[in-house]
Amino acid sequence: MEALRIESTHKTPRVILDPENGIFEFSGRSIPEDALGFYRPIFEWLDEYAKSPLPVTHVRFDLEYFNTSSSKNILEILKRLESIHANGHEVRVTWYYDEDDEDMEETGQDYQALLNLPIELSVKIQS
Amino acid sequence: MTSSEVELLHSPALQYAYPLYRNMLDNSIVFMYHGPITPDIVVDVLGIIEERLEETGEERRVSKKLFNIMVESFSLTEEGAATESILLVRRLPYLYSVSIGRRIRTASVFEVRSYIDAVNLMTEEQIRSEYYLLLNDSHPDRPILVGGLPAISILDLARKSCGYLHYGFEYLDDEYTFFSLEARIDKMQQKC
Amino acid sequence: MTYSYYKNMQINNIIFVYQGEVTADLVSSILQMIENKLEGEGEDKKVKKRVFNVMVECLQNVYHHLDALPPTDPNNPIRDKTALLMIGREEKDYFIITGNHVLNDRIPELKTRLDRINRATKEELKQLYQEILTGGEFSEKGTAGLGMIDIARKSGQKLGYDFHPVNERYSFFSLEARVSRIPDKG
Repeated sequence: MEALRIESTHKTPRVILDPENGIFEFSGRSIPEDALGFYRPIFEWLDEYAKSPLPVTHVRFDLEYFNTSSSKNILEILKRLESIHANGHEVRVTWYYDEDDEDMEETGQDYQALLNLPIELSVKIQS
Repeated sequence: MTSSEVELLHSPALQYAYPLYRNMLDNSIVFMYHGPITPDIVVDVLGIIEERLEETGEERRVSKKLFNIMVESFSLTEEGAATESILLVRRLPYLYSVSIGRRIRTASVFEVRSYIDAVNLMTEEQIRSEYYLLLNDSHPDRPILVGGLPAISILDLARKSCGYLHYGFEYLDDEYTFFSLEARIDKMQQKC
Repeated sequence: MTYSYYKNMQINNIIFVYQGEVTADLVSSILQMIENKLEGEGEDKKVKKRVFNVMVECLQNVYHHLDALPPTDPNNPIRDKTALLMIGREEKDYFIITGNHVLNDRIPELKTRLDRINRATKEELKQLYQEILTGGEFSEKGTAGLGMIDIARKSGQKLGYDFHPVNERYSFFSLEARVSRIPDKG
């Protein structure tokens, strides 16, 4: 399976899905013009990965800001990860947030509450 | 100078400049955008606000909040290049306020008003439950709307802000009504 | 309140208003936004460029002026480091209005300069520009002097202005540049 790499733009995030090392990354901003158009390929890729995932997959979310339309799409991503995890292939999610960003922290907590998936909340180191 | 030349030098907009400036100052408005809203514009406006917040040395926690509220406020504006929404950011000694204004169908006014009234009466728990319900709804590309507005955005604003959403309606004609929504952030604490 | 602003913006064809301090980064963000807005407008390429260039000059002009001011006295009720930026679009023209406080004793000098600019032909403006550039007439705001000429040259139209008295020391100075939406004009 080939990796999926999407470079970031000023309104869409950077996405790296590496099936060989089981390392997934979502970083940057998400206020896409066409949310479904942006996220659908990611859903499709994950559905494919789910057919033969690695024993452990590490997922990293490091987002600056996003709107609720993106929140829903991110939830869709997490649901797919949840199902991979439920099938016995461990998925570990780390949700990074800026220390001063209460909303980003809260969103991480929301996802923790909504899903049966190990989501760790982690404060970003200020650069 | 002839009278027509004098007129040329005093266009209506020019005459409006100082009154507008004074007005904005009196109402503590730091930023106002009126026009179409596209994701590109959103990014740029946020960039402007970010600059402004850095300049004023605002507490980071408050800046982030204001920022996030602005991001979500944009979800409530009329989308597209042929539309005119208005966004106001006010800075008062103890709070910030973000207002968005746009047209909605006059036929939707009751629905919108009822929904916001209901949200304003909800406890934090209830807002969170309702929010989760809408978040979990299985079609991210077909959001649940209230009078044409994404319900989840209204909830999100209630959650992120003081909790109470101020709103206004101005009847324009049988087809359209001007709708404005204001979310506030108390600089001192989360809920106010 | 939001509605009254909305109405006024519609009536006056105003797209964007900013009131506050003007920093270099802010100017850059505003220009970015305007650029994006113009992109989405399907405006003629030449017009877009002209509008954008005039905008750059106007914003730089205000920025340099404010930047050159001494630090604001905290006891001063006039926020002399803040400016008003207003951009609008009418049927025939775009307009860019900048506003800031000026000391009353600067007004005669500004008026003279502006009237001179408005009376000048294209050629005369060019000469005026060269004159100042080569050190003929340097005020303490040397660059600002050039700035207004630049604005006039790039916009191709007369500069509008207004001085609104505020108190014994200050007035509010508004400057308007207009850029035609007709590609061949100016």
